[in-house]
Amino acid sequence: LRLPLPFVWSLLLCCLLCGAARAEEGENAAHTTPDAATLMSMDMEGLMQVEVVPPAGRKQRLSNVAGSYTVLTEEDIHRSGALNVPEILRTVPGVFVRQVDTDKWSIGVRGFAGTFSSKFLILLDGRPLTSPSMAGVVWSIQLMPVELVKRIEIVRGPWTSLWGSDSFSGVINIISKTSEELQGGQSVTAAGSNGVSQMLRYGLPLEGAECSGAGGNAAGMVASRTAHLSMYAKSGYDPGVNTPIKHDHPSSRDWKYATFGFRSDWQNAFTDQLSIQGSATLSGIDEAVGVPFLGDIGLEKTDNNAYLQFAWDRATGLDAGWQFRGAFTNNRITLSDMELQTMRYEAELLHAAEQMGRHLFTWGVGGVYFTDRIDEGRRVRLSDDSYSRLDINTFVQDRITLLPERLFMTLGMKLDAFGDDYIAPQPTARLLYHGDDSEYWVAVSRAARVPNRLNEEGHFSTKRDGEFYRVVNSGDLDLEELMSYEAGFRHRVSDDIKYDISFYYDVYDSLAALDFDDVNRTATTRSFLRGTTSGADASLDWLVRPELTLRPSLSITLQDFPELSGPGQVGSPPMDGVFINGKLQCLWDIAARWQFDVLGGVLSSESRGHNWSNLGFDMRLQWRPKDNCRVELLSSVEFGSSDDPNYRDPEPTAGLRLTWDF
Amino acid sequence: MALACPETGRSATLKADANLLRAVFTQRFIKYVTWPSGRASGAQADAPVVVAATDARALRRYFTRPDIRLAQWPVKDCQVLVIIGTNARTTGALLKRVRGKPILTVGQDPNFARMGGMINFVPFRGRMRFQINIEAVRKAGLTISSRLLKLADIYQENPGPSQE
Repeated sequence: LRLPLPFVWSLLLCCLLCGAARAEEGENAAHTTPDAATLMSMDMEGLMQVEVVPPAGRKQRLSNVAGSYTVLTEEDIHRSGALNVPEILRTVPGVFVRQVDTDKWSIGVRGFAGTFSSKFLILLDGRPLTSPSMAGVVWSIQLMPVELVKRIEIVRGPWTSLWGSDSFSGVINIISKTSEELQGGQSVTAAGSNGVSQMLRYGLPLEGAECSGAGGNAAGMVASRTAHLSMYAKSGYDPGVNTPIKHDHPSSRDWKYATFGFRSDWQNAFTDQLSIQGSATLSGIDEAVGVPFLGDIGLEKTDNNAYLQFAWDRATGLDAGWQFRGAFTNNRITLSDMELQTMRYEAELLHAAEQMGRHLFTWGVGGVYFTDRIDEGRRVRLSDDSYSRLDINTFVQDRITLLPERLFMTLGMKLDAFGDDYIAPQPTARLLYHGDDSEYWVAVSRAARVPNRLNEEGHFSTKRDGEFYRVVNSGDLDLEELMSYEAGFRHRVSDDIKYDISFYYDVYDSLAALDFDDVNRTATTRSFLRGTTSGADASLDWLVRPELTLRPSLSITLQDFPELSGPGQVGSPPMDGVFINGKLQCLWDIAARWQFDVLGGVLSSESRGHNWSNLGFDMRLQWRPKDNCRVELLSSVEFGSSDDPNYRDPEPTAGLRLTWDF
Repeated sequence: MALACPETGRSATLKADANLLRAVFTQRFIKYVTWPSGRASGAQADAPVVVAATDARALRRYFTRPDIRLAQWPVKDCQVLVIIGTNARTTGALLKRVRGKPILTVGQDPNFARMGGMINFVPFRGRMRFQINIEAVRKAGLTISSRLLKLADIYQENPGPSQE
């Protein structure tokens, strides 16, 4: 095993600093935790002297969701050491993330992993980031600074009854901070072997009333203002020399990007919130990988993205309210002589009624109108160079209380209508038993999704076994279908330990794939692929000591798609083999102003006789010299092995991130 | 509050989970409140005092007194509503829902009293204090004992210049 020099130096530096920080730590004061009976016997004055256990003494909580579900909090996001959203997701059990090029990430849930993975949905504040034309996420234009992310919810498995047809194998829901949570200024500077970046944001109140309690005492708080505005700008440069890439040609170089965004929130009558947010992004790179079907390198690529979103949210009771969201998104990708522009208009209305006896109803309607225009280059052609479609959807869900506070059944149905061609009913039934310290759940769901535009209409070339095949479309693709059977349980062993295990068996039918004709050197897109994906995700969250948390996880996926023949498939086809992903995250509060975190990951896959394995470490050391200043040392290293002769280990990376709040 | 720790001889601070403290405080508040029907603390009532909570599960283990019954909101009839674990807008909606009814509302939100809530938990230097909105209590037809008022911070919507 060859240890790269920058990583060794980073590790040594971390060890030294950890030791020094540990030496600074003082003894904790002794304390006693009384029970309820003891406190009930105390008088009011005595109760007012009892110290509240701070949130840092975090207790494990169960999620109360009948599905495989993970939430990343603001602290989890910060401690991941991530510089962008895909990197945050590396810490999530059951989510496979790998940087495959300077500006591209492969993200997979339940086996479908690839740069153009189209089987799960990624949302930012309810707005899909998934391209309606290519069905994947173009990460080079999704550059929201991680410091602005409040929470990320990850659902593994189909939740199409709620989220719609793009959420085939899962949903990743990114929730940004409100402008009220972004008051004041912040500067984040990152520099290292992966280039440099600078983010600035500033938030200010716009209007509002203040009030106070009896002056000068505990209750003399100032009420929040009712309208706020925040703005951010970020730019960066990545030379692209350290990107892990296993092909035999170099990675894309000289990635330059800039983004500007804003958000304003206005609260009225305490129950209503109006939000307007938007951003504009520009990205350019010397593309080396391109998209798989281009089979060429050395292209110039520029990406532009802009969006504007309006949201209204009214609370009417516990888990009850109305939500409206409308958004416009414009993407433009220029790659050499080809240009793709997509525009997406969307609106949705949701209503959650308050509990009525045993029933808790939620329903919604929505519509998406998208249009794209392609200036075809010499490599890619589509049947229509411009295209538009109106998708309408509606859903209803009832959470039925079978046993109060214990047993719940969720019945849901979503109906998607895609243009004039497809109508897809997507039902689900979920059962959740909530014990004192444990949860058990089972779910059965049917999902369906429409093939993406490239599958339906694309004409291009793909490379297979060294030969180019001309791709044509058959013109009569079916809906891709999925029946999913899931079960899982979560158990809180104590206030410090919980674990989560889930199992799934997914049956896919009519997936679009290329059917190769070796005689005519053509590949026809057909809805012929069927197969199964089964597996298990297990994770443990263990607060070993107040200052030390360990989070190991293991995911095993078995994919069986015997009809899928060899390489050359476009997008992110399923594997036909075994995929194992183990992770261990260690979060250590070394001292009051020091943190040291490590994420170790093992990946192993075997598909159609090809083996690949990888061991990686991400390391983060934080020093907080002042309350408003953080300095972080970030480093990562990977070691891999593969029977692919072109495989090479990615270069290790190291860098510094300086965060200053003002 | 400090107790002597027998093993070390050092003084030990009493520490408790926030939900435990909220549950204990809430049960103690009942003793100091009189409802329009004349019912106080459930002592002279046949039926137990019903405390509805937005997250009853979080408090369940701390409610052991037979004269107080904890229920998950929404319920048809209750004397106390504990609003915890909800966002500010949900808190506002719930307070709007019970406004004017003889229900003691207890919660923890910087705007709780301003939204019309009656007793607001206020973390202060690591301890749990509380703030009382007398006007909201009066409008609901409830009476709070002066002993409890002495321990509380009194919320005033429009404090006069003398407050400074």
